[in-house]
Amino acid sequence: MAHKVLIVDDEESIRESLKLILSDHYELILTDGGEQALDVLDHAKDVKVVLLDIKMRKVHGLDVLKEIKAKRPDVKVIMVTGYKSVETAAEASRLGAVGYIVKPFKPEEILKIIKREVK
Amino acid sequence: MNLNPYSIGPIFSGLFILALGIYVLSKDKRKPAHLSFFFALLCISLWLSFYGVIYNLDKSIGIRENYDRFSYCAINFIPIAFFSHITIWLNLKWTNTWNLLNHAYGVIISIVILKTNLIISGTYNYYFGPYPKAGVLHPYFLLIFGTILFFCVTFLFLELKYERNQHKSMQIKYFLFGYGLLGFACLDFVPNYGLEFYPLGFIFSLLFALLLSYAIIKHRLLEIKTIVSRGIVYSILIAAVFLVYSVTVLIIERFLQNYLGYTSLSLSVIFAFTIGLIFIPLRNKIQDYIDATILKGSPIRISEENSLLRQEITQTERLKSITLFASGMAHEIKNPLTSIKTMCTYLPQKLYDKDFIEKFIPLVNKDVDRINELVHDLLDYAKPSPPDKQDTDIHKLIEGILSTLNSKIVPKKIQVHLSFDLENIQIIQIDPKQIKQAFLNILLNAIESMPPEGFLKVSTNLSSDHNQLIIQITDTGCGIAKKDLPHIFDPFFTKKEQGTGLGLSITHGIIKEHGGKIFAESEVGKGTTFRIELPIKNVN
Repeated sequence: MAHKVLIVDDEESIRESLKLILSDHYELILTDGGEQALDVLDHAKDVKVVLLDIKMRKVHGLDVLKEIKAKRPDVKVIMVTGYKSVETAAEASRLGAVGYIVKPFKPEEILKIIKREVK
Repeated sequence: MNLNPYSIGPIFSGLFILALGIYVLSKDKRKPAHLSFFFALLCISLWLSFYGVIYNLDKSIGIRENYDRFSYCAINFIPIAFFSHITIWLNLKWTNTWNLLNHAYGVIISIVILKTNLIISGTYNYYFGPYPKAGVLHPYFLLIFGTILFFCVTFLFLELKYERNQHKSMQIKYFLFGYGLLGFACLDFVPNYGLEFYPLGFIFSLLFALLLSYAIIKHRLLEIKTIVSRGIVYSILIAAVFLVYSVTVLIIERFLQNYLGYTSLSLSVIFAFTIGLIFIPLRNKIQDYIDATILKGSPIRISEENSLLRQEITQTERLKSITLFASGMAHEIKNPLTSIKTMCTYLPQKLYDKDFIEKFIPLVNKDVDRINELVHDLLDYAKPSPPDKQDTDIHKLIEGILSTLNSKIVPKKIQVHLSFDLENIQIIQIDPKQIKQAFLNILLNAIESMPPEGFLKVSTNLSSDHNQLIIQITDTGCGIAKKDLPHIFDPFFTKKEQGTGLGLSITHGIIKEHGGKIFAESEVGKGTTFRIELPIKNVN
């Protein structure tokens, strides 16, 4: 059974890039914002890993992270960002994120981190 | 040889004034104002010190009269030195010739003092010590002495009358008051004519020096920055209070012994103990007084400290803003770069995959355009060019912007209402290109935030003080959340799906460059109002 990975990013190009990298390995659900992502998590209990963009226009990724961990503490959340700062990394870690990916990302980097979390 | 007690005052004053002069000089030897002030203080110091020494010399010592004459040479140069200092400090360049003449006069008179009996004709032997006797030309010497001092005071008064700078006015007042005190020292000329009284000029000189020291510490006189350590001041004061305490105990002891004829150690101890009881509260009172007056700082010092604090805050805000800018820019560039990189990575294996090519080529093109747009916006944001202000019909400008936005207004059936104060304002001085860009960003946001059949109002009016043009742009769009409102002018801050988030930052920058202000009020679900205040140069 392919593991389900939820992608949360408001940029189409990022979603398509992640889809290109991961679609051969995992079953993907693509969403463009926090609200949609939480909705998916309500219904799709087999989602194990979430790739969550930090800087989204409508709602901040860290706020979405908080909501996800409150709703589904079992889900592993990996943050995706263009600007990694110590403060944001620390805050994400404190809120329950298990990893960090910096854009532009290498396909093998994404695959490695997701493989680690689905085990 | 016993020290003549009448010499203690002049010697102490002379040394204190010399120390003050050296301190002023040490702050900046190259400054002419400091050099000339040091020279003036040196003259006073030499006068007093020589006198102090003379009082201690035996009548039979021949050099006594020479000391008198040397001391008088120093006195001769006092008004000359002060004239020089005042004219340099006040930057009265036209007095340069007068300064040269004064100094030449000073040298001639010094020779006359040393070599003839025309100004100093001998010595009086007063109870306090020897004192120079006035010669036949002494009154004329005094006349010129007084005239030069008169000019010093006149220049200060005139400068005070026309000086607008508060700090400089304060400094002039201190000098005037100081010279006023020093003027009382001229009473020391009276004993030159045979009237036997102890000359108290050294006291007025000391007061003059103390006043100027206070002015230097508290009001940065002569632009000398002095940081007085609280510890040093306390130590000096405690020592002074202890000295007073010890002297008081000694005086009481002497009094009891000489006038009451008693010798009681117990009584002396009781007196000392009683004085000791008030020593600590007195010391605390003095410390509090010093804290409140000298160490708390003058308004000028407090203002300087505030200015330094403001600079630090500005610097911190600037660094915070740079961090914010950097993180925003990183996001805006790295996102489009991701699709470009991914496409490049997979291109070799997916070259003949039609779906891949059809999907990614438009995405990559869009992202390249996005980076390009970002560069343009960044250039607009960072553009340092000051506004090219010209007479502009502000209402025509606003109407022009709205007509360019017709292609967005009309399809959405947005109602536009204009309320212009045509009576009071028409032409103002602005850079029309920049203001057009600033207003365009706001109006575009307003239109995009509104659902169909929304309402857009643009109004202008004059402020109550007639100095500002107020433009208000109100929409009935989705509004801005309270938590987001403080950030709307931050670079790269946006809730829109498209755009770099630099529009309002650019607007803010343009308004600020024009010397104006911009504010925003908003309520989610109801709409937003932007209020722009622009200073008016010319009003029709």
